[in-house]
Amino acid sequence: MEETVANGRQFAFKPVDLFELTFVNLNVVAHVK
Amino acid sequence: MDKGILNKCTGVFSPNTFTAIVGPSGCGKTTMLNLLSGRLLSKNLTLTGELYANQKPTNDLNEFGEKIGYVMQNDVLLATFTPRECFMFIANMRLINLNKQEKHAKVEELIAILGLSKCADTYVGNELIRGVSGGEKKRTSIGVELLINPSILFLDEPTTGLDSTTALHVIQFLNKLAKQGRTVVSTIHQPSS
Repeated sequence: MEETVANGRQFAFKPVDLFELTFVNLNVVAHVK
Repeated sequence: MDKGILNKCTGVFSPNTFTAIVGPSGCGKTTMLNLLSGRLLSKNLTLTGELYANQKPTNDLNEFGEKIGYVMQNDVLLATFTPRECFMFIANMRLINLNKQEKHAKVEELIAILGLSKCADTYVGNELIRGVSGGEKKRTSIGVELLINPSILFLDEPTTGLDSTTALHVIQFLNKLAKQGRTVVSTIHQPSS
């Protein structure tokens, strides 16, 4: 999000960290009775 | 009896990108979203596979709780709150390190960014109480999650129930969020909208 100045103070809505999510061979199995 | 819900799913959600998960009803889009946002917890489910957060193996995504935002399909907002009151309520609950003035400033900035200035003091509403429009309600829901400034934002069917123009505006807004560094992941039922 763009940085804007509110009440003379700068608020940064930019993410603190970049986040990469990787998933490999994910399986979900439900146990049904 | 065992029933496979997800089978050998592999992929990468990268920063600066908006990833859409598409597929027919019941194919497991929401299950995948819940799993990858650390919300799929049940004794009846067995999860296998590998997860990496920023290339580091992880077993529990809940440790990244503050970096993960999740916008549910149904807008879970109090009908008798205005968008401003919703944001302020969430700011008081989740931004405990900020003082009152900082919270107010952040809420006002968020209202401006989301384009909610005109309806900021209108009830969210429901079937019985007249309130903001569907698009404004959805943007309010997204704003609630943006308050904590998440690095990765999951959205479950953000365009459901919206007309095509409003849906386009929501998607354009999400694209903008992605271009500014976030990882945005969304299930979409109708990619055409």
